[in-house]
Amino acid sequence: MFQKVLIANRGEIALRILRACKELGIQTVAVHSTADANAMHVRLADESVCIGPPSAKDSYLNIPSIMAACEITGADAVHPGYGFLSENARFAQILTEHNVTFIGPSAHHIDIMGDKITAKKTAVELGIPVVPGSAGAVESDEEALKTAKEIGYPVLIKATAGGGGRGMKVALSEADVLVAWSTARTEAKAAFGNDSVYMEKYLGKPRHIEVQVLGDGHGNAVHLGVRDCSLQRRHQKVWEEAGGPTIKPDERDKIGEICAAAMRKLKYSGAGTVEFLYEDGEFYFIEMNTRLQVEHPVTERITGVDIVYEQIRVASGEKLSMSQKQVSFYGHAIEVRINAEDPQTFAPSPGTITFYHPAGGVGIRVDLGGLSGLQDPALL
Amino acid sequence: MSAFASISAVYQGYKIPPYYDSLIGKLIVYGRTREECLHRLRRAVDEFVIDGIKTTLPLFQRLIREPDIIAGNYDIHWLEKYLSENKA
Repeated sequence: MFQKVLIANRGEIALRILRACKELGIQTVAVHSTADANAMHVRLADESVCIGPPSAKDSYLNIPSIMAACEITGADAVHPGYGFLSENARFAQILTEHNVTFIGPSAHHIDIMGDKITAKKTAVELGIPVVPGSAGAVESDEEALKTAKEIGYPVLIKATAGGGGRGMKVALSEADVLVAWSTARTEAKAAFGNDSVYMEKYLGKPRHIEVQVLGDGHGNAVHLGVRDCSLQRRHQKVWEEAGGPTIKPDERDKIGEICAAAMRKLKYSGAGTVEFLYEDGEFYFIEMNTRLQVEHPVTERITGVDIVYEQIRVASGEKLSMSQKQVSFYGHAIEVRINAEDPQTFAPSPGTITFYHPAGGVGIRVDLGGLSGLQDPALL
Repeated sequence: MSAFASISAVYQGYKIPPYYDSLIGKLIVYGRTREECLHRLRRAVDEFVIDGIKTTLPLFQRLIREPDIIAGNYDIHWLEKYLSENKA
C-alpha cells in the first residue's frame, strides 16, 4: 500500500479523496493554487504545497509544478480526481517514468478512450453496442451523403476532437446534410484546431445511462450498476439517479455484464464509466471516462462499495476486494449538484458565503457541517 | 445516513474563487424506494440554506415538484426545454 498520496485536485473531490486516504492510513499531500490557500482540503491534509497562481493552467494543470511537489514531499502516488489532469495520458506516463503511481488506468487505456473514433472502434471490438455511424472521419461531400443514407435520417455530425456540443450538427434530411457537414467542420476547426468530423444516427429522445466499472489490471472487473444522468443543461449533468427511474434490474445486469466483460478483456485498471444513450430499450455507446466521476456517490450509496478505496487498492497492485456475485443493489439514491450559479441562467456566482446551513435531521448525514467551527477569521 | 452533503469548499465566511468550475458541493439522498428518496430530497433541498451567493438549490426546489420528474419521465432534452418554457 502507498505511504503518501498527493491529491492533484481541489474542491469537494480533493476532500473526498483525502478522507479515503485517512481511513486507509495513508499520509496526504494537498496541492493548491494561491486562490485556494484556505480551502478545507488544504487545512485537513498532512502536508500542503502551493503549486502556482490562481489560473488552472499555471497550477492544477501545471505538470512540472506537481512533479516538483511529489519530489519534495516524497509522495509515492498521485490521485488526479476528475477534470484537470485526470484524463491526461502524458501526465500518467510522466508519473510512471518517475516511479510515482498514477491512481487510474494506464496511459495507453486513457489514450484509447480519449479519442472518440478509437474509443468507438475499441468498443465495437469489445462487444459494446454502439450508435450506427461512419467507420471514421467523413471527409467529402459524396461520403457525407452516402454515409447519411446508409445510417438513415436524422443523422448527427460531430467533431472527432469534440465535446460540450461544439462542432455538433443535426441533419434531418438529405437537403440539410451538406450544410450541416460543412458547418460542423468549420466549428470543429475553430474550437479544436481540427476539422475532422464523423457521423452517426441521431436519437430524438434518448436518456443518458452510464455503467460504473472497476478493474484491477489482472483481468478481474465488475460493474456497479447504472446511473441515469439525463437531466442536463448544455451537456452538464445537474441531477443523477443510481438505478435510474426506468432501467429494470435485468437490463442493468445485461448491459453491466457486457461492460464488465469488456474491461476484463482490456485488463482495465481502476474506476471507469461507460456512457450510453438509451432509447426504446437499446443502449448506444457514447464514450468511456477513464476516471472517477462527480456522481460516483450515488453508486456507492446503493452498493456500499467505496469506489475511491478500490481505486487506491488496485493502483497499489492489489486485486479487487469483491467479485461480481458479491455486488448487490439496494434502494435508490439521487445526487443534485450544488453550483455557485444563477438557478435560471446558470451564470457563475462567485462570492462569499454569508450563511451556510446544510440539510439535517433524522436520517440525514452532513459530512462537513461541523467544520464551520474551524474557520479562522484572520484567514478569511 | 440517508442523505449526506458532500461539501468541502463550503463553510460560513468562505470566499468562492472565480477561477474554477462552479461546483461547490453535492447533496446525495437515499431512500429504500425511489418514492421515498424523492420525498426525502424534497425536504432536504427545502431545508438547505446557502446565503451570499446564488446557487442551483432553488432549481432543485422547483424540479422536485414537477410531475415529469416525480414520474421519472424525462430524457436528455427535458431540462433545457423546461428552462426555456418556465422562467423562474
